[in-house]
Amino acid sequence: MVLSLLFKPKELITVIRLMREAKRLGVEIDDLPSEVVAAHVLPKTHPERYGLVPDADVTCTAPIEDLALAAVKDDVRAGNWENAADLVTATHGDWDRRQRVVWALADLAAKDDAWMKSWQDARPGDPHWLVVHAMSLVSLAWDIRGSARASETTREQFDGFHRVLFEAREAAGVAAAVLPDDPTPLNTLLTLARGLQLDHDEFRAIWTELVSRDPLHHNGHQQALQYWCAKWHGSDELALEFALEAAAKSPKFLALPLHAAYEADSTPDMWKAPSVVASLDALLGRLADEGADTYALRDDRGYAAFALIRLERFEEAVGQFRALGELADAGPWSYFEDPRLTFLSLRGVAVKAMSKGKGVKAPVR
Amino acid sequence: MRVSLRAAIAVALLVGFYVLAFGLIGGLLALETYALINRPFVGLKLAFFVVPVVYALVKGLISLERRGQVEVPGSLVTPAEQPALWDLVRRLAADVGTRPPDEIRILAAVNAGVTEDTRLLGLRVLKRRMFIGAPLLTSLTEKQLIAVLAHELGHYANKDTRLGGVVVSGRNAMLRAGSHMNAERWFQRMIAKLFRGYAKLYLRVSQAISRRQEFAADRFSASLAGSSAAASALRELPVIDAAWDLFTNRHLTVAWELGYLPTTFFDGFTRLRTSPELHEKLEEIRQDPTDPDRGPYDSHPPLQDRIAAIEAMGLEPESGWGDRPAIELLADPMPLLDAAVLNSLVSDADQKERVDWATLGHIGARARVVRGTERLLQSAATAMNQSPSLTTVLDALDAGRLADLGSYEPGSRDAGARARREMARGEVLPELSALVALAFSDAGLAHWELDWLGRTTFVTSSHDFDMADHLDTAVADHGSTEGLRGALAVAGVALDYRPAN
Repeated sequence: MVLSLLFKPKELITVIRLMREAKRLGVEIDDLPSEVVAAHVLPKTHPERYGLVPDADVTCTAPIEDLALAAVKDDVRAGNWENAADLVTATHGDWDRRQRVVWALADLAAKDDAWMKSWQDARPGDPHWLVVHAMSLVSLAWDIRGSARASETTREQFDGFHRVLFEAREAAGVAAAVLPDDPTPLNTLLTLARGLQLDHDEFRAIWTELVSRDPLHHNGHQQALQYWCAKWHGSDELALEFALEAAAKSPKFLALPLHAAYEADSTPDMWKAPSVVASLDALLGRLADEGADTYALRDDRGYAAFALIRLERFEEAVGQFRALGELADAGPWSYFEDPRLTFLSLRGVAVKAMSKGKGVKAPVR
Repeated sequence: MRVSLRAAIAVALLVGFYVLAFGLIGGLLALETYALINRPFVGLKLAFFVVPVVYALVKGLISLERRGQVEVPGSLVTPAEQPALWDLVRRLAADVGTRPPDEIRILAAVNAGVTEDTRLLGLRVLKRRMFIGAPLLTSLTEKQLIAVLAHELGHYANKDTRLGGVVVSGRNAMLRAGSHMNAERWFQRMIAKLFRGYAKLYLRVSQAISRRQEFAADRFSASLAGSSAAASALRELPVIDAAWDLFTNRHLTVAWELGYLPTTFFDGFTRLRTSPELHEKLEEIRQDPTDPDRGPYDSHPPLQDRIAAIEAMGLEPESGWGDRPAIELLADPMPLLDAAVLNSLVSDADQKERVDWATLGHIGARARVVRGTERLLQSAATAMNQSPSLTTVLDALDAGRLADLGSYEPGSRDAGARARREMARGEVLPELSALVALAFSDAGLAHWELDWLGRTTFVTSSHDFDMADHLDTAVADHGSTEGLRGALAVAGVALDYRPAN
């Protein structure tokens, strides 16, 4: 790595500058604050000239989208469970929102479940409690496992992970039986299928049940796509096949083929596949009439921008960044250790390439 | 290439090694002297380089000549004590055409060999010793033992060239080359590297000679013991090796640290080798023998090749050798073999208490369980500020202190108290289970049995030992130890139980 730098004078100079900066601040080069790194590494562009917000305004903190959810999360943190329980109950039927609410509360319950105990004691047998409980076990399992590589995960962490996932599966099964319309517990099963390494047939059985309860379950489709990725239990081809099928079902899923291409590490040319490009163009058409005020929209725009850069359609990519404004909270940036820096550097790449007249010009719409 | 030509090259290389070292020393000293006389200042600077290099070279040469003055291992057996064994060895030596050893020693290892104390590059022999592994004596037939011993004596048959002998001593010296070097010092490290590079070349050249000698020695074993016994002996060696390994690691020394040894050794080894639970595993090794790891410069050809070569000879055994167990060659064998094992163990072996095999297995297994409960007892004692005991652990659980009894960290940095508690549950449950089992055992209600594979089973005569549900409830969230306490009381186990070491 060090040797290869010698042949790249520009990068070498950057590294030397960063080393000097690290020395001045008295830290290791890897521990430099991202602001400092950004100042040295990011392409020097003038975002405001292209209708983009300045670098300094970009944030990865998501604005509050669901006021009721934000309120009950505060309640739960204060130890009050009633409003949370009522909100979960009220979302029955609005499946995508229910999924978001359940997941957010389950994350809280995975940290501290005292409020869940109060809920259970006050309303024994509440089926909605079961739904949150099952999902909280999945969240807990991942807290125990962590996101490190297998080689850096201890045997005890793996043991705990599997033990709790099995409990989650049991709990989700009970919840699904008690609430025969609710796709949420089935999505919980779908989510833990990866951790428990379910085979394709077992997975398809759960999938069939989920789509019979909600054919267009948003998170369910994302979870399933992950399962079909090569890094989990599928392949680049299976993931793309699944994503294209979903995209054909509803414009809501037009970004999924882009997710598949993004995950296809061993098929880097998947971006150029006609089916992926067609999905991208259809997605751009859909997004033209929409803003960026939900997480789902920003996520779609993020993947679209990423795809456009990979296809060297820089002007259109800059258009997506313009629509995103200052919000770098969604995918694909959220996958990176420093989402904001990733967002800014890719935005810089797009702006710089466009200003030099590189790549494909945007078609007139 | 003929053996003699290869041997000549090998000897030349051996000599070359000294030439290289002395040449370097001489050249460096000459350069230094020249510099000191003509350019004293440069000479002084040069000395900073020359002195350490010469020092390192000399040290390397010393390591080549020095042999470790180690105590000769094994139990000595005299012709008066074991006439049959000595008769056999003398007859074999005569058949092979070499002189019999001056000493026979019994070793506690799956090995046999003949060594010589030599001087002057192996030209003068002081003493010839034969070593026979005790496990071989108890596991091989007479014919198989003959095959093994004939092979070892065969190395010293006059049919190997004189130079061949020098080559073997040279190999041993070369393997020591650079062994006395201090790897921390740069100069010494460099010199050691130089020596080793040369040694590698030498070892490679002499490898073929050594291999040829192994095949030649195998020919002796086949012609004396017959091809079938010689091949079967080679197949049997890895089997005995695996059994001996299991025996010494999992049985003989299972309670060593606690101060216990079995009353007798080789009856246990024989029972292990013939036990039904091991039969399949040993048969697997016998059918597919693999070479032990003897390091990269070992001179032995692959075992499979040797077996194939021996079988291809299709030789019949010399008449007069029997198929009886080799151990029948020995008069009163067990004390002798046990003494060989005792001698091989470190010096305080005779101070160990001797117990029968069943007791030994229980003591060893119990000690492992005790170690497995120490952490839990200690963390409960710390959490509750009480003395470490079963009660303290149960009190800590009832007080909702489960998370404090664990020691493992969850993988996510953002993990909360619940994840910590969950990890502690996974850690505490098996430890608590072990502690309860220990309490049963120490109350005389149960014990551990060790089978010859080294697996332990918990055996209890108590009908009340169905603790799984009670244990689960004890560590559950909002659980209770009441059921467990009750069950222990019914069985007659004291709650304030605390394992003694």
